[in-house]
This record gives sequence, C-alpha cells and structure tokens, in this order.
Amino acid sequence: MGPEGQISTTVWDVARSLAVECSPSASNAAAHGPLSDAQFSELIWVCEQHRLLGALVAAVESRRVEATDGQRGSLEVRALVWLSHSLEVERVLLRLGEVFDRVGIEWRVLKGVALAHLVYADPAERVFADLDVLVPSDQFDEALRSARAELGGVQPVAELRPGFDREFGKDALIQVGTVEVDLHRTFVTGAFGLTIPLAELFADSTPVSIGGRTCAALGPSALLMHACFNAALGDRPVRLAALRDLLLVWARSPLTVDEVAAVAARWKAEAVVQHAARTVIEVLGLPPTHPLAPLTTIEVPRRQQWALRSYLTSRRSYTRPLASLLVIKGVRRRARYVRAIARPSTAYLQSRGWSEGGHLRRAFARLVGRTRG
Amino acid sequence: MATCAGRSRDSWGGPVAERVLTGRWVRVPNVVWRRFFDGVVVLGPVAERPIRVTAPGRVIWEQLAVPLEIDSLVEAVAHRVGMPAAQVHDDVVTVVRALVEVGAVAPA
Repeated sequence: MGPEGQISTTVWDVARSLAVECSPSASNAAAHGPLSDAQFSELIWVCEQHRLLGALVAAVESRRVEATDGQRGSLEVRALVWLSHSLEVERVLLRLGEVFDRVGIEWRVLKGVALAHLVYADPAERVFADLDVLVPSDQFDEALRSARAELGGVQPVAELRPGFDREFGKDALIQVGTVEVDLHRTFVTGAFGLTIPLAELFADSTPVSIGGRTCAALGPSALLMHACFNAALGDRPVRLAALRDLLLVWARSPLTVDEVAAVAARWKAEAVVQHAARTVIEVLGLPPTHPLAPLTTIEVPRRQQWALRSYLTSRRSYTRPLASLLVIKGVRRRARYVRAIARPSTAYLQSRGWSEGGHLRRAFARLVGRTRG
Repeated sequence: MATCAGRSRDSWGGPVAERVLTGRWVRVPNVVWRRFFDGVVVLGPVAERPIRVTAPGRVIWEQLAVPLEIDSLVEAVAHRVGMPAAQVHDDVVTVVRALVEVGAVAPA
C-alpha cells in the first residue's frame, strides 16, 4: 500500500517516478510492467489528485508508461478536462492582468500557471486548478475591487474582519466563472507568512510568456522560496506536483546553497526550506547525494521549529493563528489580530454558514483536540 | 469541448469557408493552448470552450506562428507529415477554418 493507505504500492511508485523525472525511467517501467485496467484507473486518479496528469500523458506518449488503447482513451478524457480548465485559468489571467495594468496594480503570477511556463519543458506537463496572483498589501483592496467589478468575480467568503486581509491575510478567493482566483498578499497563513519581507517579492521579477503576453513571475530568490513554502506548508498530504515544482525550480535556480540560506534567514524561514527539502527527498526517495540534499542541513532556530509544528498538526487551523502571535509586532496589531480571530465579522460567519457561538465552540474543541483539524 | 479532428469532413459554409482559401493567416497573440498527443488544445479569446485539433493539428498550429497563405501551409504540412500536398489540403483547410471560427487564427 502507498502512503495514503488506499493507493497500491505499484501505482504510488509510478506516480512518484513521474514526479521525479516527469516520466518514469525505463527501468522503473520495466520493473512494474504493464498496469492492469484497475491499476491504470487508479494511476489516473492519483495523478489528478497530485496534479501529475500532464506528466502521465507525456510518459504514455513517449511510451515510458505502457498503456493499452482503452487505458490511453481513459487518460485522454481526463487529461483533456484538466488541460481545458488550465487554459480557462490562463485566459482569466490574461484578462485580470489587463485590468491590473490599466488601474496600476503591480502583480506577480504564482504557482502552477507561472511554473508550467517557466520550469517545465512543456507547459502541458503541469496542470493546475486555480489561478494564484500576488499583489502588494497596499493595493490588495483595490485589486479585489477591480477583480470583482471588471471580471464579474464573486467573493464567496467574506473577510474575517474589515482590513484583516491587507494586514494579516494570506489571500482572498474570487470566483470568476468556473475559475477560482486566489489573490495573494503573502504565501501562507500563519507565522511564516507574516515574516516574509513582502516588498522583496516585488523587487525583481522573472518574465514569463503566457498566451503571447509577457507576464511577471517572482524573481529567482522568491520563486525558489515560494516553491519551498508550497512543498513544506502547502496541501496536506503534500501533492507530488509541489515536490516536482521544487525539484525543477532548484535545478534551474542561479542561487547557491549559501545564498538560499541567507534569503531564508532574512525571511525567518530556514525551517520552511529545510522541511521542504527533506520532504522532497523522503517522499520521492531521492539519494543523499541529490543536489537538493544540502538544503536539508541548513541551521534552523528553535523558535522556527515550534512555528513549523503549528503547520503540521491536524489542529493547524487554530495552532497557526497562535503561532502568528509570536511574530506580530506591537500590542495594538496583536490585539487587532486576536479580535479578528476570536470575533469574526457577522458577514464572515454568514458566508461560512456559521454562528458566533458555533465558531467559538469549534475553535475550543479543536484546540483541546476533540475533533480533527 | 469542441473537437476538430483533422480528418473529419464537416460541412463548412459561409464567409469563413471562402476566406480561408485566400490571404495569409496567423495565430492571434492572446490565445492560450497546449500540445496534446499528436494535436493541440486551443482556447481562443472569443471561444466558449477549448477546441481540440487532432493530427495534423499540431503541425498546422506550429506553422501558423508566422503568417502563411493556405497553399504554403499545405506545402509545409505535407512536407512535415510526408504526404502529397493534395492529400492533406482538405484537412488543413478544415483545421484552419475551425481555428478561425474560435478566433484563434486571423488574417495576417
């Protein structure tokens, strides 16, 4: 059985090899032999969950994964759905970029959309479900307004309290048709998201051509750090595509290990970089001589180890805000943060379908471990 | 998902069908697309859904990165797929018509 319990070892091994080299090596494919229809269906499912469907298509196309006509047909159907959605996401990006440029909002395209074009040999190998765009804190509200007004976007979840997002928030979700747009202010919620020097994210950029338009992605340091943040603190369980992203970004990064350590220290995120590298090496079973290995040994302050644990527990919805208090400077700012967490606005509670009493009971129950986070 | 199989014989009529045979054609700048097996998936700026263009769609799409007349395009595709131009002509015209319809290709 694979690490997620219900996934067979054979299928998990093929999926992992897709993440390592985009398509399994000949030796891996030969070791596993052709997959049964049931195994191939499971592989498609795993690749959808882990955003590796494009890599599987490339592997089948190059015959590094064997597939019968029927299996290939099943793959084509699912891959086409994901590719089509990826294109719709990119079209929304082009429209959003036009709007932001017109109203003078600085922006950076993030994650799957940017990486598909920046670090993958063929953007078809990296599918994605939503659009992630970073904007400066002081333009966050204007960006939200513009996205809603000009793209007909809907914000399904209200802000925790007025002003919270631009001061402490990670992102706001805007639904534009079938496309989810995550408008980011920082990379993650919690302590590590609050110590990133956000101005650095706009200090430089990497040009990326999407739909014939040159967009701005993060500069080299921030691009690598963001890949680390996603691998270390993103989805739980971690998606294989996030690990592959980091492998590819690191392989193309001009930064040395010392330079990465220096950036991580400035961001107070050594624990993030170390945990990301360890996760990649452990989950993908890479050798200790892998080029990513030196990042697993960078020194991590004890305070960050504690902050990292706040992300990895099942109660992280509540431990992350507590850890955030350690890094928020100033009594008034802390008070605003605590007030927002403890007493969300009525609009927020209504948008989540919660009552105030229910919110507090849920928070207490999770903190003392009565329910899973 | 609209599909334009390169070897289909859809009944095209009207102005687009006539226009494709004359003038030069090129991809429009703000089209998003992906390679997909031996074809491409293209989402034009005015299309409701992406269109899948099967073989020899990828070759046609790649060639249309620069402005081309249909005859030149047919020649280039024929050369790439190793078939006589007369044999690929109708497929090429069908694909270009479909791409024009979704706004992915326009007069140069």
